Amino acid sequence: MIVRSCRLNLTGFKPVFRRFSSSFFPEEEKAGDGYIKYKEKSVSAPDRRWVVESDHWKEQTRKGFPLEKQETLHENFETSRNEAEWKAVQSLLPLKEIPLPPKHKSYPTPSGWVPPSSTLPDEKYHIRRTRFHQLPVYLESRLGGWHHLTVIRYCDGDLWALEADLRAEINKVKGEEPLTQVDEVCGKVRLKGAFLKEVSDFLISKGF
Amino acid sequence: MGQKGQKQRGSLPYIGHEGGQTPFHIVIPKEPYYQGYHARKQYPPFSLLQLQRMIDLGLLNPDEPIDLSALLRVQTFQFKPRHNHYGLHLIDEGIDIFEAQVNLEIQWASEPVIAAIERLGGTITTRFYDMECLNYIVSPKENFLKGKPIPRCKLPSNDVVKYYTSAENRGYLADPEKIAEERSKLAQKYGYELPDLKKDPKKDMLLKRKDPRQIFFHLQPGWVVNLHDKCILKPTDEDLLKYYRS
Repeated sequence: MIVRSCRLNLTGFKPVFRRFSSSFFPEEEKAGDGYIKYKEKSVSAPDRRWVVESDHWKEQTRKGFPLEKQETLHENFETSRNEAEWKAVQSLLPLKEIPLPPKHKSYPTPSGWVPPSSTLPDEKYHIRRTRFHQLPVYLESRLGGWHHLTVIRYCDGDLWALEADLRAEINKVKGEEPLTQVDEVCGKVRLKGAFLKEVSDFLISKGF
Repeated sequence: MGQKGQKQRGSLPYIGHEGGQTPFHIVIPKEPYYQGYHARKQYPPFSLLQLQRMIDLGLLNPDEPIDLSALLRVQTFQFKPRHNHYGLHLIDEGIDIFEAQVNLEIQWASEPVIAAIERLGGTITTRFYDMECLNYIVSPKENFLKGKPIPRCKLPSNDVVKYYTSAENRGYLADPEKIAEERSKLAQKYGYELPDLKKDPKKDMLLKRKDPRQIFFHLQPGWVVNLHDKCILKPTDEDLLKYYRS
């Protein structure tokens, strides 16, 4: 048995004929021109009046209004241009720009944030802050969380000098030199091991 | 396979058969860790340290009430209602460094966290939002542009009714007098002096609360926000007003 694969009954559209079982499209009729016409099915909206007033959770939904009423529900309204209300609307919209951090009396702030130094640090390399004004130091995990890597992103300049400095710093604090990887293309330096505290303290001391 | 044996004829007993003794997978009772997992409410963690950092960086204004939409507006963390995220769980990380006086509305909070906020003269309420409202809160701009009216918040579902009606958890459906009692009890338990809210210059802001049916401050359910013409359309149909009434 041959039926059309396309469900849309477009006039002038040459259908692709494929083989299907007879139960695939039960309501079919062959027209004189060889095209298959489908009977128009009567569509009825399901009556979802499952709402019970005694159960406080199953409340009345907006679909609970009768169909005739639903069309005229939003015809009657008043427009208001209240400044206080519009201010509330604007406070909900997503931030267009990330604001500059306010000036604090002393640093570090209660949450431990320190701004970058106002003068450029005298180093061969540079590390910029993230868009939220934080240090770009991240923890990566490998082997299902068994191995940890410390990643420093947004590095620029001589990354090998940075890597040497970091190795010396970790050696000073921990007494052991970590394995390192320098990714010059992406501007990343990776250290094997979780040294978030040590690395961020080092970067802050340098003034990044 | 060998020759002339059980293995060749395929008549071995089934794997796990213990020679007639009840097998261990039947003896040991089931532990259904993941029963109903798809329907469980998830509350992703949000720490006091994160909150303090957001205030330090000027991303949040502590002089105004902080609710879910104020936190999500900054977009510093992911929140997905489609993963059954019913709100944020305020955890105690950074409890020692927290210094801000805030009026906070959160979905889940533990006792020490509540104490940490109230010790500094702040207030905290736990608040339930249903899925329709959460989807609206996550992307208000898109929903305004679609012309969707602000939904009416449903009451909490049966499994969390107890949490949101108890004064210990500072539930939004709890009796305010009982909450005042619990505030002083908690101060005695943790040994701090409870600052007097009535004498606070920020008193009005700290005692600002939403209606249980309301999801945004100053905006009522049923209103349609027109961002293009910068106006708000308020329904006047009596049936609709009756439906949106709290």
